[in-house]
Amino acid sequence: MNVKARKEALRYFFGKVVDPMGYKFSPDEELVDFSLEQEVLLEQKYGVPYCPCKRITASRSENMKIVCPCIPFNREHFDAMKRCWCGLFVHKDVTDPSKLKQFPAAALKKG
Amino acid sequence: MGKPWIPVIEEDRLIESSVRLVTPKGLGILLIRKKGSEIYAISNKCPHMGCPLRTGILEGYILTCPCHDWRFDIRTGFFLDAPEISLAVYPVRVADGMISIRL
Amino acid sequence: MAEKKITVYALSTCPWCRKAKQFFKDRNIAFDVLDFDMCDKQKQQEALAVMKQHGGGDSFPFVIIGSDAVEGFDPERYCQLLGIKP
Repeated sequence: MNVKARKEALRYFFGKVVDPMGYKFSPDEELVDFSLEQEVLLEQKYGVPYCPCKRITASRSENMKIVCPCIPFNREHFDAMKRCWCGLFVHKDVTDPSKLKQFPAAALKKG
Repeated sequence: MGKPWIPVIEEDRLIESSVRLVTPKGLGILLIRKKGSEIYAISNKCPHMGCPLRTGILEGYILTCPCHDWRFDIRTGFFLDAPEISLAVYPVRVADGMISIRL
Repeated sequence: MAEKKITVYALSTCPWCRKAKQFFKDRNIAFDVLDFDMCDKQKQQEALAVMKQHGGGDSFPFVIIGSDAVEGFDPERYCQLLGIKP
């Protein structure tokens, strides 16, 4: 399958998955296009559309937690940022994703 | 009028603790018999990326998708890591040696 | 004051890693880059050890400024650590 068609397929699948969790694709269309393309390339390389901003490890159980959309495995952290780590998805009420900050999960514990 | 009961398979053909694919009305549905008449019917399609769950691993009431390890409770259809996401679950009836699903 | 050494640990697939690199480029601040996914296994192990030492290793971009580390694209924090205006 070519990259463009697979990007559209991922867009279709992931849109349905994130909606009930209160997320949508980022309004930053350039970022969405870039990130989806990276995921398709990662899928072609590894067979799995991993998050483009997370480290792929030697452990299957760890890697399965960074398969897009990885929101279910990072709920508290992403809800606090109102976006997922790579920014592909944002909370439904977000209109300007450039205002959102990317901070590590460890920052939540510090308060 | 409620949805109709569709007969799918003879009761004695469904082995305990096995996962069996049936396709009433062209829909892929997994029948799982835990023990005796405790039978569940769930969608065969993982809501993540549409992978068939038929070859997934069943442990207790938890079915794990073979593609990316998403785990589902076969009793409720709930995805364990985000219960807002779930598999379709269908009512099951056994009568006169036949298993039927309401669709 | 001696300039702080800056290293951006990045993935070639990550849009925020590009933004992090661009942040330093735009300000003519010298920095090193390590594109983690483009390195061989040994280099990755070395890089991972450094990232872990600074409390990271799983998420990118990971920016080390002097003795401090910032996980994520956080221009305000970069400026703060460099003592420059945002």
